[in-house]
Amino acid sequence: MGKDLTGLIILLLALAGTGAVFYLNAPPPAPWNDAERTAIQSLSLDALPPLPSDPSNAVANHPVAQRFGHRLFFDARLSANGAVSCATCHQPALRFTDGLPRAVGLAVGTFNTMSLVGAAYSPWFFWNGRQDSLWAQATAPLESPVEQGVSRAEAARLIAGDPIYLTAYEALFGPLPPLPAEAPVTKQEEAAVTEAFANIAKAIAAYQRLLLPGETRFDRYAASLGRDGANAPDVQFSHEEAEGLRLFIGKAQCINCHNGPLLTNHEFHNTGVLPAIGALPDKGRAEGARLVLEDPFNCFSVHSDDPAKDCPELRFMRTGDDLVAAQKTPSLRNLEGTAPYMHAGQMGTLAEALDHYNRARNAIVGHNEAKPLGLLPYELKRLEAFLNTLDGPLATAPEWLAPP
Amino acid sequence: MNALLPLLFLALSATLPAAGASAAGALAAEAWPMPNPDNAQVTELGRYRISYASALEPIEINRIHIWVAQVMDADGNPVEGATISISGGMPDHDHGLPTAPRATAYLGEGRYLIEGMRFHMGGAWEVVLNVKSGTGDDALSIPLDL
Repeated sequence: MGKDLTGLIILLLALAGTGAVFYLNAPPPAPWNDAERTAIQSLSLDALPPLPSDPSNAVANHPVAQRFGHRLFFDARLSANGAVSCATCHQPALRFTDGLPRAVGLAVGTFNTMSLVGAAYSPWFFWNGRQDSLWAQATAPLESPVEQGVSRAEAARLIAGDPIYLTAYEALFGPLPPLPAEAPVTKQEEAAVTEAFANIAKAIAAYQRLLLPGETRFDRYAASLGRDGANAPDVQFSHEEAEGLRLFIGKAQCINCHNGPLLTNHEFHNTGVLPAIGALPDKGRAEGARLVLEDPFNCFSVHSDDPAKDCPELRFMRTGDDLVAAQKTPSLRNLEGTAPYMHAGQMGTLAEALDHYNRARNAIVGHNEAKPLGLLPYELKRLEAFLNTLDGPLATAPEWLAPP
Repeated sequence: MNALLPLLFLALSATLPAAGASAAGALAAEAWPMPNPDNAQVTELGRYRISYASALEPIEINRIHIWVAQVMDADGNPVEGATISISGGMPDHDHGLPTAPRATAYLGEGRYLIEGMRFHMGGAWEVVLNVKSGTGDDALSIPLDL
């Protein structure tokens, strides 16, 4: 009996020792096969197409609009209390987010601040996609009573009263129409004020189009993968990071939604994220799709500069109740500094977010599109290590990242 | 008569703003993808032969684009006036298409313009073209691996 036990202990120790040797001497990642290399390089910035044009915004790429928008972006006079600007929530140092669970402007908002970096590539804006252009998006926080809370007329009057703004405005859009001293009364006054307000948003969008992601360690690694799938020895990418990448494109299925060079498919998914504590479940894309059709600044609107009003995204948009609780897939670039995560900042760390997807519990509203992954703790750590290789400086000139 | 055709098209465009805008806005007529009838596939019940072409070739994820489908009857005659509807999704993931594509214009010779195609994930997709006409209802399921 004693002899048997001793034998068993020796056997167990030998097994543990062998395991430890294998663990400590883990081999470098195997070279990637063709399909894996293709998947990896599809996520790389090298695969990012040029910034799409925005026919709805005639000044989208205009240098005067970029500078005008830059000033407007940092100008707290565009708020009811004179203390909140776009940059209050979209802080350059935090990759144009604010580090808070939910945005705080004039009051606490409902949603987590989304980064603006690379936002110009998306057909939809906000977590529920309730607006369909970067400039239409810029109108919403200005007017929101919990964000900046200025009226369209107040925003227009700021332009009229600031010689630098007025010069830029009139160079871009022609004469600023006469503005009513009080809130607009006639339809004509209302139209003139709304037009000026849309133009202000178009200048802000011209600035926001400059905020683009820059090269990360992952991009250098992806670019270095040779035809044999091996990486160049001078690129720093650890075994743990490479194995995390292998999970990302494979077993963990992250790439299903976090695909393409911005690591987002710009679509809407219900992944069973619980509402913020004390909040009702958000209706998500089901509501966003309805709101974008009603939006007075959408692609069909008179404020869109596109004469064709082709608007394919809006015309062929999916709608319906089955999109309930679906939120927009966020980019995974620059996660450092953009915590907390999810639409109401429900998760403070990447580890929490990974645990959420690993468990994939039933959604409380609609159905969770994600399925449990069954990943072990060391695999979750590998995934996190990989995600941390997606940080890099913005591909935006430094002067744009500070107040003018 | 031939000289009148462009005028007729303009008149139709004016009365059908949605179809006119789509045909003009999506792509100029000469740039419409041309299905190759030699690649036609027979629909489930054998009523039609459908070939299709995508304006995005190869098809990439996350880009909205148009298709043209050419519908012939079993004898190889173009089918005019059919109602084409589009469905599909990813069978392995139990979800549908991310957009609501529609047939927006008839281009002649059995060809139909389909706008609003977009795929938002890599993997196995299925696009189903449902055809209704005097010949009867039928459908073609097109598997795609993106």
